[in-house]
Amino acid sequence: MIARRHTRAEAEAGSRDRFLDPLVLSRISDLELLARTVVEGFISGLHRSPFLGFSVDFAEHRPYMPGDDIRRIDWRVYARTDRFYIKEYEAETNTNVLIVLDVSRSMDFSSGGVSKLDYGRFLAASLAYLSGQQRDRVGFVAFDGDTREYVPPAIRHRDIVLHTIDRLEPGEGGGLTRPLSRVGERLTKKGIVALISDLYAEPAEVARAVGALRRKGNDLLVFHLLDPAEIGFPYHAPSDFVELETGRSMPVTPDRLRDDYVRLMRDHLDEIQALLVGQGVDYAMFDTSRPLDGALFHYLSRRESRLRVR
Amino acid sequence: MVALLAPLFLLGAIAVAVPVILHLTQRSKGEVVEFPSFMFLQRIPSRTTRHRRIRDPLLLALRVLALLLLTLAFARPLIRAWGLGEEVGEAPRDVVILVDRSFSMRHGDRWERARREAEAVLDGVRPGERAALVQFAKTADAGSGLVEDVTPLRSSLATASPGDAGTSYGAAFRLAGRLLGAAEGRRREVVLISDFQRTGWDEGDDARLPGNTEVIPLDVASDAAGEASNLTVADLDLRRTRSGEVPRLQVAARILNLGADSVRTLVELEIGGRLQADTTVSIPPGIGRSVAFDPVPLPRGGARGGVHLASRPEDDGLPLDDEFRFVLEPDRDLDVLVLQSDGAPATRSLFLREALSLSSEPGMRVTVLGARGAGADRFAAADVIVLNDVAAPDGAAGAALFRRVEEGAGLVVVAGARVNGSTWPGAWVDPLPGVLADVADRSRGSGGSLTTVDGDHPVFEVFRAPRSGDLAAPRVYRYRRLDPSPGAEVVARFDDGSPALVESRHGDGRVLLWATSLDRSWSDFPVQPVYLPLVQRIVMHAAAFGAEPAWREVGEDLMLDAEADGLDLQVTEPEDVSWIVEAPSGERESIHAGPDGTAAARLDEAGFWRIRLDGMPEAEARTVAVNPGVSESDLRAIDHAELVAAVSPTEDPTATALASAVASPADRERRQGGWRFLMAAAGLVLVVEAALANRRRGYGVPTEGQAKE
Repeated sequence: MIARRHTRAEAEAGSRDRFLDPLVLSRISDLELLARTVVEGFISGLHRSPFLGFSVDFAEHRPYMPGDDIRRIDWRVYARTDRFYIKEYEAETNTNVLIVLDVSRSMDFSSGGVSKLDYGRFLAASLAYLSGQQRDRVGFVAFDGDTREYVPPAIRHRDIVLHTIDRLEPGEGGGLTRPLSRVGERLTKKGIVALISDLYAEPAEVARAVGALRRKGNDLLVFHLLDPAEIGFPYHAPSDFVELETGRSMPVTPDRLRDDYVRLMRDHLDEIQALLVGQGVDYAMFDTSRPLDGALFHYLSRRESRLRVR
Repeated sequence: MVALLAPLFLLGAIAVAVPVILHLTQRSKGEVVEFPSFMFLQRIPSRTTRHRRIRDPLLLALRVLALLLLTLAFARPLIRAWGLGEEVGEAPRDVVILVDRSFSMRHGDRWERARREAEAVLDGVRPGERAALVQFAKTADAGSGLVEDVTPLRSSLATASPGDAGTSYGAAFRLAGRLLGAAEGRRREVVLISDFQRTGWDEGDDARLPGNTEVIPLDVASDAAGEASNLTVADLDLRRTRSGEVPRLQVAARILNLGADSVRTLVELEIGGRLQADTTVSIPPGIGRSVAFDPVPLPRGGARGGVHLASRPEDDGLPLDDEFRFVLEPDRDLDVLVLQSDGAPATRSLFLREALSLSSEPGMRVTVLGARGAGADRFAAADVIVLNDVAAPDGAAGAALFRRVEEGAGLVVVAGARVNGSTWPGAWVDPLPGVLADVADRSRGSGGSLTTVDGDHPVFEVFRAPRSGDLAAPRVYRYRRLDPSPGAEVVARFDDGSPALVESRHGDGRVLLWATSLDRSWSDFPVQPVYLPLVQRIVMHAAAFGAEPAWREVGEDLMLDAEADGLDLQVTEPEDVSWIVEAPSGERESIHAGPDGTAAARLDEAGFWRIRLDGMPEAEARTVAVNPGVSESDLRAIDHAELVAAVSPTEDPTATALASAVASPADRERRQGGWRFLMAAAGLVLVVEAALANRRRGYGVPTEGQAKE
C-alpha cells in the first residue's frame, strides 16, 4: 500500500516536471498557451496553494460613503450600532508587478538546451500570466544597453506583455546601470520588480544598479539565469572562443583554465548574492536546465511575504 | 610630476595594438565556439590561452616604442620642474557655500549649527579667493554671487533663517555649477551644509558640477541617521455630503509616524476656529494610519479649517508639521442645461438628468429643454450646457451659447446618432475639439469598450484607485469616429483606438466631446455603476468645479489673474492692477500685474495667506491654506558619499585642473617644448627599425651567400 502511494506521488511529480521542462516548453510556439500550461500545471501541482487568490485579512471599518458598494456594508455592525460601516481588507489592492528581462546578446547563448533568452521569456511569460491571474498590474521591460521595450503596469496589459515577450529578439550588448536607472525613472508606484538577467557585470555595478530600484521601496526579485556550460565550462578542445556581446575572439585551451574559470564564476556568484541579499534583494540563481517551477515558487513566496507585511 | 596638455591624444596609443594584431592574425584558425562573455576568461593569466610565438621581438619592440613616442609627443607632456606645477598648486580658490534652509532645518539646533559651519568656512577664505553664499530649499538663491569681500555674505548669513519649503539638492548644485562654471584658472570648491534629508535628492536629477570641483559635505543633523523621530499629519481627504438639505463635511486625515517607536496621539478637527471633533489613534513605527471624523456641518460661506495633533511625543522632531490646514470654498450648486432634440422622448435625457440630479458635491440643478426652447437668457444662467445628441443651435441662439462658453461656462457635446458633420452648423465647427466622422458599428460582436483613459485627468482620476469602478465593463455598440482637432486632448479611447472623450478650450470655457450616446441607444453605459460618477465628473470638469485646491504646498506659485478677480482689462490698464499679499507671519507685499494682467505670488510660508486686489476691502480677501511638503517631515538622511558621487564631475580632475590653471595660451606653448624631443626620438627609432627590417629581409647589406653570387 505504502509502495503504491509512493509510486503515484512520483508519477504526479514526474508529470508536473515534464510539463515544466524548458526543452518540452520550447516546442510550444504560442507563448500564451505556454504560460498557461506552465502556470496551470504548476498550480494543479500545488494542490490549492496557500499563496494564491486574494488575501481576505480584515483590516478596519470605515463609515459608509455615498458611492460605496452596499454589498460591502457590514450588517452586523449596523445591527449593533444602527450606523453603516464598510469592511476594509488588507491587500485586496492589486500589486504592481514589473518584469524586467535582459535581452542582451549574451542571453542568446545555449549549450544545447534552451537559450537563456528563451528560458527568460518562458519565465517572464509565466510570471506575467500568474500575476494576471492574481489581478496584479503587470508591466514589462526588455533591455540590452538601453530600454528596448516598455509596457507600463496595468491590469489589462497582460496580453500586451505576452505579445511583447513573444516578438522579442536578442539585442546588443550593454550594462545594467543605464537601463535599470531608466526603469527606476518610470516607476511611479512601489511594487514588485522581477529582474531576469545573466548579470554579466561587476558585482558592485550590479548591486548599485539593482540597489537604486530597491531604495525606491520596491520589492526586488533577481532571477540570475545561467546556462550549465557557463557554470561548469565543459569544453575540451582548444578553440577560438567568440564573445557573443562584442564579437571578438580569443584562443582558449579549456582544459588549462577550467579550474580557474569555475572558481572565478563561483566567486562572482557568491559576491553578487552577498551584495544583493545585503540590500534586501531577493536573489536566486537558476540554470536553464532546471524546470520553471522553482522560479515560480520563489516568486510566489516573495509575493506572499509582501502581502503579509503590508 | 608629469601632466599632459592634450591627454586625448593618448588614445593614439591604441595603435600599439596594430603590430600585435598583425602578428596574431598570422596564426592558424581553430574550431569556433560562441561564448556569452569573456568576463572571467580575460582574468585568467596567459597560460590559459594558446601562446603565440613572436617571430621578431626586437622589431616588434621598436615599432611599439616608436608609436608610443609619437603618441606621447602629440599629447604634449608638461613637467612640474618646467614651472607649471607650482602655478597649479597656488591657483586661487572659488568657494560656493550651499546652506540648506528648508523646513527640516528647523529641527533642533540644526540651523544654528549650519550657521556656525558657514561662518567657519567664510573665515577660511583668503585674500584673492572668492566665495558665494547660496541659500537653498526647493529653489536656490545666490545673493551677490562670487565675491572677494565676504562681509556682505556674513551679513546675509546673520539675517537668514530656515523657511517652510522643501529641499532640492539638485537646484542648489545646478546653481553652484553655474557660478563655478564661468571661473577659469581657479580651484573650485563646493561646501554643502545640510541635514542631508534623503527626500531632498531625486536620483534621476542630472545636476553635475563642472570639472575640478571638490565637494565637501558638512552634516548638521545631530541625531543619528534614521533615528530622527517625527509625527506628522501627511494628507487630508475632504468630502462634502448632505444630510437632507444640510451640507456636511466628512474629513479623513492620514497621520504618519516616522519615528522608531509606536505612538498614541489625540487628533483634533477644527473648522472656523471651533473644535468640531477629536479622536485618539495609535500608530506603529514607520507607517501611516487614517483617521476618519464623523461628518460635521459645513458652513455655507466657506471657512478655514485644520487637523492637528493635540498630543505628541516629547522628542517630536518637527512640531510645525503637526497641523494640516485647509480652506473650504463656499458651497455652490451648478446649473446644468441639457438640450435635446425638439420632440425627443423623455427617455433621451432621463438617465443623464437623474444621474446629475443625484450629485451632492456639488449639487446640480438640471433643466432639460428642446433645442429650440433655449435662448440667451437660459445660456447666461447655466454653468454647463449639455448638447445631448443634438447639434448646436444655429443663428443668434448658437452665438449666445458659444459666447457664454467663451465667458467660462462648460459645454459637453454628446455625439450620438443625431449629431454629425452635416447637422452640426458650419459656423460652430471651430470650437469643437474634433471633427465628427462616420459611425463605428460594433453591434455584431460583443461591442466595444472604453479601454484607454488618462488616469491623471480630473474626469478619470477618481476611477484610478482599486475597486473604484470598472470603466471597461460597459459595452458600446455604436460610436462616432472623431478626428481630434489640433490642440485638443484625447482623454479616453475605445478599444480600437478611436477617441471616446476629447477636450479643448474655447475662450475661458471647456468643451468636451463624448463620442457615443448617454442613453441606452448606443451603449449600456446608463445601467452600469460607473455611469453616475462618470457623467457627474464630466460635467464638474466642464464647469471647472473644484479647480481651486483646498490647500497648497509651500514653495508653490499662486497665479493671480485680474480678469478672474472680476476686473475688466478693457477698462482698467494692467499696470494699474496690483494685489496685496499677506503672509501668515503678517508681512505684506504689493505685487503688480504684468502686461497680460496676471502675476505670481510665491507661497513660501506655511499657514493661511490673505490675497486681495489693492483697493478691495480686507473682508473680501481670498484665503489660501499652505502646508509644508510631507517629504520634509521624513528626516531620514542620505549617504553623503552617494550624494557627492552623484554630482561630482566625471572627467579626469588632474587634466581639467591643469588645462584650466595655465596662465595663458602663450605661456602654455612656451613651456611644453618637450614634444619636440619625443618626435626626434621617435624618428630615430623608426630609422633604426627600418634599417633592421631591411637587414632581416635581405634588402640591406648583402648576406655572405648573396655576395658570392
